[in-house]
Amino acid sequence: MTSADISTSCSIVAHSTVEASLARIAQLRDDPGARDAAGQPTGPQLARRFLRHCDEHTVVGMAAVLEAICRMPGGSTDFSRWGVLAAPCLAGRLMSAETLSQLHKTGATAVSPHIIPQCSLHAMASAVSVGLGMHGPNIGVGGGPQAVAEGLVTALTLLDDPGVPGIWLVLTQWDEEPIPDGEGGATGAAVCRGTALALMARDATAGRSAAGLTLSLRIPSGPLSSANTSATPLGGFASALDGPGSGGAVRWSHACDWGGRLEVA
Amino acid sequence: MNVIPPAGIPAVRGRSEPVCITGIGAASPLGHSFDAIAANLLAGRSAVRQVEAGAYARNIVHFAAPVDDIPVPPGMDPGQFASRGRLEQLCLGPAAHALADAGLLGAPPAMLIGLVLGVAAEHMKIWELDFIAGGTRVFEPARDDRSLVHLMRADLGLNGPAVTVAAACASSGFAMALGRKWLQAGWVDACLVGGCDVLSPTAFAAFYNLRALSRRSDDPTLASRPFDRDRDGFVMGEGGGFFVLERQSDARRRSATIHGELAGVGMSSDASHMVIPSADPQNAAHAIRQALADAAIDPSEVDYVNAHAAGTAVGDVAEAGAIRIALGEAAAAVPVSSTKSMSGHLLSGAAAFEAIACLAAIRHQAVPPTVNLDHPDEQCPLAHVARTAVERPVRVAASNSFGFGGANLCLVIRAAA
Repeated sequence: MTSADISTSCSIVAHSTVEASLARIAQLRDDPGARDAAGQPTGPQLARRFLRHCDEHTVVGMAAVLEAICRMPGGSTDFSRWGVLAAPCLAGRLMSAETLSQLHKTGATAVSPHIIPQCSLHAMASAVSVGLGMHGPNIGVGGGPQAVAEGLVTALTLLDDPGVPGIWLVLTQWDEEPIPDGEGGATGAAVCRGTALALMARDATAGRSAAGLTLSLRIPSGPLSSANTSATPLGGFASALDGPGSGGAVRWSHACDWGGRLEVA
Repeated sequence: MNVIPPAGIPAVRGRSEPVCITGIGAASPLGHSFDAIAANLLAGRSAVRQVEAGAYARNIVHFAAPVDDIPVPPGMDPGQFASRGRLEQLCLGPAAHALADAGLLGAPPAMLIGLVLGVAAEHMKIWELDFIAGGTRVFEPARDDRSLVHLMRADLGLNGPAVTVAAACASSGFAMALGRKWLQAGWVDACLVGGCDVLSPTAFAAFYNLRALSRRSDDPTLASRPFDRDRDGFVMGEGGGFFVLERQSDARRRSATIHGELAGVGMSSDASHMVIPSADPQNAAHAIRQALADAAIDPSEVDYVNAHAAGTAVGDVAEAGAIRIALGEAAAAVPVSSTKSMSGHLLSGAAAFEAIACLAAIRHQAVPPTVNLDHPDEQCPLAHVARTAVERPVRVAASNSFGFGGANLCLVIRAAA
C-alpha cells in the first residue's frame, strides 16, 4: 500500500469551451477555426474539409482547441512535440446508428470505411494530432460517462516526459444525448460541449503568463473509501474554469470512485 | 513532411525501479494459456480459418482468427459469465486469469490495484452486437450509464484508479505503457493492464471496404503474410491479453513469479493521416528509439523485434524503414517476425498478445516465425525469421504497435533479472 499521500499537479496554461447545436456543428465542420471580433479568421487553420467525415465530438473538440490556441499566453507556441489526449463521452452514436441501419437495409457494402477511423475512441485525439501537426502521443481516453475524470487523471500521468512539452486535453460531452434518427441526424435539441485544456508540467511554465489555474490529483494514504461513481458532468467543470476565483481557491473538485481527488484551483 | 524535431531522447523524469510482469492472462485464437500460445507460436501454427461472418458480412468475409470458448474467470459461475456481452467476456476472462496468475485475485483491500483497459471502440461494438441481436441500445442513450472498465473493476474487486485508453490497433500497448507510469509514479501497488477486441460485421465490412483486408480466400492459413511480396492486406482476429504489473521490489517482497520486465516505452504520432500510415518512417523510428533509451539499452542488445506488420502494402514497408532507422547497423542482425501471420490482427488486443509472444521468446529462447513469408518484399530488408522458429538467446525483445491516426508505440520487454 502506498505509505504516504501522493500529490501531482500541472498548470492549465490555456483553456476554452465551445458549445454547439447540431446546426452549429454543421457550420463548424466546414470552418472550425477561431475568429476575431471582426469575424476574420485568427489562429491556425485546418486543411479544407479536414473534418468532413469526423464525428460531432471531434468537430466541437477541434473548435475548442483552435480557440484555446488563440488564448495561449506568451505568443506563438511550437506544438509539434505536444501530445493529445481526447476524452469524449459516448462519441460515435449518430454515425453508428446510421451505419447499423444501412447494414440492415443494404448489407455490408454500404458500411462506410470511415466509421472505425473517425468514430472510435482514438478518433478525436488523432484528428487534433493530424490536423495540427502534433507528434507527441495521441490517445483516446474514457469514452463513457466518467470520461472527464479519466481524461484528467490520464493527462497528469503523461506530463512526466520531458520529450513532451505539453498535452492538449480535450473533453467533450452532449448536454443531453441526442436520439439518433438512423440517418446520421438526431431528434431533440442536443448541444455538444467541448473543453480544450493546454497542460504543461508546473516547472515548465516558469516565466509564462499562464491562465493561473492548476490541476491536481491527490491520492491519500491509508484505506480508500469508494466515493463518486456517477458521471462527471463537463458543464460544471467548464463553468468552474471560467468562473471567479483567486488566491488558489479550489474552483472544482471531484472525488474519484477509487479515493483520489481531482481539483482545479 | 513534418517530423519530430531532432531533440534527442531525454531521460524520463522520475524514472524509478523496474516494473515487472507478474501475471499473464489471455483469450486468443492461438490458445488461452501462456504455454499454449507459446507452443503454437513457436510451432508456426496459423489460427486463421473459415468463419461464418454473420448474416451482414457473409458475402464479403470468409476467414478470420476467432476465439472459441472464452476462459471463464476463476470463481465465477459459468452461467453468469455466459450472460455477459462478448466483449465483456473477452476482457473479463483473461483479466481475472492474469490476477490469479499473479496471486492477486481477491487481493487484500489495502493493496491498491489499478486497471488500464485498452479497447478502441467499446460502445460502438456494444451497440452493434446488441443491434444484431435485435436490440435498440444505440437509440437509447440512457442505457449507457457505465463503461466496461468500471464494470470490470467492480467484478474483479479492484480498488485503484481505472481508465480506458484507445489508440486504435495499439490500444492495449498504450494501456501497458500507462499502467507502468502509474507504478513509476507510485500511484498504485499493482496495475492490471491490457485489452481485447471482438470480431463484428461492421468491422469486417469497414476494413473490407477500406481495402485493408486480405481477399486471398483460397486457403485461409496462407492469407496473413506480413512482409511477403504477395501480401494483400491483414486478416482480422479477436481476443487479446492482460498483465499484472508491479514494481520489482514489491513483487520480490511477496515472492511473486516474475515473467519479465516492461523495461521501456516509446510513444509518438505521425501527424500525417487519419487512416494511411505515414510513408515517412521517422516518427515510428522515434518511438522505437525512445523505448530503447527508456530501457537504457543499445540497439545491438535487442535480441528480437516483434513487428506490428499486419500485411498491408504501405504499413509493412514503413515499419521496415522505421526498424532500420532505429536500430541502425544492428538492424542487419536483429531477428524480426510478425506473429500476426499466425494469430491474425487482434486490433485493440494485438499489442498485448504480441507482448505475450515476446515473453514466449524470452522464456523458450526461440524467436517465433513469420509464417507465409515465402518471398520477402525487397522493400522490407530485415533479418526475417521466416516460416519456422529459430532457437537463439533472447534476453531483450522490442514490440512495435501502430494504429489509425498515426499512433506509434514500442514496448521493450526484458528477461527478469
